[in-house]
Amino acid sequence: MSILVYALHYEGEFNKNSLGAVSEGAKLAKELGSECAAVVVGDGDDLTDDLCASLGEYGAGKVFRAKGPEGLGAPVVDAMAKVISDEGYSYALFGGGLLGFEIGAGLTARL
Amino acid sequence: MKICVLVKEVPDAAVEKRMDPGTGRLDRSGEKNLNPFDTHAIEAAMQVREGGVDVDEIVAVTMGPESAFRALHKAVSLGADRSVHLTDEALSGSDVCATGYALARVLESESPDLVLLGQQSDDGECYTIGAVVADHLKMLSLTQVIKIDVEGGKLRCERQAEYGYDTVEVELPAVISVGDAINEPRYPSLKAIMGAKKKQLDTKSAGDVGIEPDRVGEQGSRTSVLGVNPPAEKDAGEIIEDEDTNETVEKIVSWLEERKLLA
Repeated sequence: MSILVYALHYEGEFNKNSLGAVSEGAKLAKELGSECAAVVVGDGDDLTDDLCASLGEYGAGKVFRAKGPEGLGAPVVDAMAKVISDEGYSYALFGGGLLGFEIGAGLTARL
Repeated sequence: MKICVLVKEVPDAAVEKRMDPGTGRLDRSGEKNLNPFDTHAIEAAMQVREGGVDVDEIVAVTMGPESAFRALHKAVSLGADRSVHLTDEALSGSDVCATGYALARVLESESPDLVLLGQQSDDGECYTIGAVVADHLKMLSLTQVIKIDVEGGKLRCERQAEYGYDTVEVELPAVISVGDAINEPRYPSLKAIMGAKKKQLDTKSAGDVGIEPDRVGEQGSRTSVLGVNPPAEKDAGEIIEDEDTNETVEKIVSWLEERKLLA
């Protein structure tokens, strides 16, 4: 019953809604007795190991980093669908916002 | 190029929105109209055509009850060449995912190069149907597009993003959800309104487009409404009438200061 959260980043910082979603995911995962992980997607140098690791402070036990163009829904849907299929996550969580709507809808259709 | 525009019949803006507590669905009784957000998508299709792109056909597509043909007539009066109406009792109660799947099956039968739709419906306000349709069709999807240029068989789209505006180049075929800032929809002429009823309207059932019955309707929808609650009531706002502008400004500044909203 583990939870996967998409974390949007921009210019070396994570989006506040995404950080909130990671925190909420970690809280819910604890209630379920499972773990919360995050997915990040980007093609720039700003998605560093340190930046990804910083999601641990918000409760992510693991971070999956995928290379792909930023700001589009489809690459994130591809990445999350693969992680869910390979690792068996039960829930996907998004911070509010346009991209969250787009990715959530696409991922639901895919799965 | 063939463009399909997804449209929807929704309760008229003058009708108060109400949930049916018995079914957990939106009460769609009363006067209905074409979803106003979809008129921007039809206008965008018209502007692509009028911009010099060779558009063979603009087809309005909807899924809805028998009455939804009126929304298609309006879509045609706004410029669509013909329309397709997917209607079947088996589709009743479909959630966003099931609706997106069903619409994708209709669109597959049309093989469009470009699918356009409005940013949201005026009733469900989900903002998500385009992404569901796109994933079923294996097409790229963009939302909140406020400018479309067709260049060399590709689309160059400006879109509202989380951090400002992006310009994105998209290969066709694609599903594009347009923001309401993209254009000012035209008014249909009387001739177009009268002529709309004579344009081709194809009515299709779920079986006609190969929809699997267990993937649509209430049974095929994986979401369920557990409760319906009215929004919390808010205190009435304070209206400051502008009778004397200097006095009005003073009142506004004073209001802001009281709430420590001025730096």
